[in-house]
Amino acid sequence: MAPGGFVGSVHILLASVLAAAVCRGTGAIVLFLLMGLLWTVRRPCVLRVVARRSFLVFAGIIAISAIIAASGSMTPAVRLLVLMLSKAATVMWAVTGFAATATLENLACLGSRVGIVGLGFAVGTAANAMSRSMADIRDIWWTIRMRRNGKPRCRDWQRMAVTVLARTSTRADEMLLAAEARGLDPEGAAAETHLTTSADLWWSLVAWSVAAAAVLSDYYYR
Amino acid sequence: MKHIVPRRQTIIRAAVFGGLWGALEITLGGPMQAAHIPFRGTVMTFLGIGLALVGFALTPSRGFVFLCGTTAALLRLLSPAGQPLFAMAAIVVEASLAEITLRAFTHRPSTVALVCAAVAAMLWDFAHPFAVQTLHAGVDLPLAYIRIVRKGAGMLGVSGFTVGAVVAALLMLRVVAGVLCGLVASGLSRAVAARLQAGIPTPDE
Repeated sequence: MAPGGFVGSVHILLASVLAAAVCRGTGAIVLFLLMGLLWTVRRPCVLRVVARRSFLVFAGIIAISAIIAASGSMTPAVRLLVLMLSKAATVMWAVTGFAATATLENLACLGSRVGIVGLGFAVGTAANAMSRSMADIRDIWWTIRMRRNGKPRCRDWQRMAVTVLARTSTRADEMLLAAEARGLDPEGAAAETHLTTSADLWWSLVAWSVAAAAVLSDYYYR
Repeated sequence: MKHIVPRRQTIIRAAVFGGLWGALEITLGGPMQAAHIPFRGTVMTFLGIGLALVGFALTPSRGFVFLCGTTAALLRLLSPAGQPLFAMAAIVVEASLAEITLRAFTHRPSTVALVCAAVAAMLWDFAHPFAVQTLHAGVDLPLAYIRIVRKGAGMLGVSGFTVGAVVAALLMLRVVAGVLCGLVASGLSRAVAARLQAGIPTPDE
């Protein structure tokens, strides 16, 4: 099966997080194993995230917490540790897989679809304005430095903030005029991006089936 | 300052202010997260929410702060440093909390409204690490933390009151930062409005 795209990742993320939140026992291990299998087929490189230093540090914190929480007795501590690590790895895979497919365009389009009007247009405009805002900050900073012979005073920070914000506000007005002159409609932008691929439907189905299997096994083998 | 602003103007202004917030997140937030600098969330919330609130005070309209935060969150994805997804989630939640608080004040940009919105956003900065860890390892982890704190307090001979005081101090730090952020945003928005009325700003003024 093709690895699929963004919508598949969104469904896998939701299924993983919800199932991990619901499962309190065996289901967490079932979820870990099945999601591991899913990611082996879909995008094997995602599995490597559990070998990263940040995850190992987090696992260490979980291990210490589990031992202390179980009052030093080994069997409950190991059980708690395995359950928490299974959930952590499952969520981490889902998050990494989601991040691998999420692009600015996809997220903006998703935002527009879930009712955040104008998000696609806003992101495009912001990406465009960002570099000019940074250049403004740099120019204003150097102007102030030169006026103070390289030693800006405390009051200059406020002056700089006001100038930067006033410039930002003026730029927004210029962009509004430019958008109106070109007849652009911010509320209708980014509606043409196609998010779903044919493989996404199957991946979503598999993800929710895995989540259901984990929740059921948690219920029956508690 | 008029209260009702056209939707198109709101979107474009939120985009430009969100772009500035996003630029700060990329150049400052990402490296701070990668370097594990303490209270980085508080610093970034102060700057980001402060910026959004100044924008809101200049363009008082429904959805401004939320759209500004969402735009900045998406731009955070461009930062190569740190884990962007949870930082993005934090930005969106903080912007949502500020937006809900402003809605309670019927979107009037008074100093009290700005302060309350900033405090609401800052409180999420305190809750965010616990929420993320609970999401990862389930509710067992915060419960384990509570036991660890109790046992540690018992071993060190520290009373539960002292432990509570430390937690309260950390919470108060955020509240104070929130109040400061709201006051700074209010003062800056007035100064910017005066500057805009005076004419096109230049750094040489």
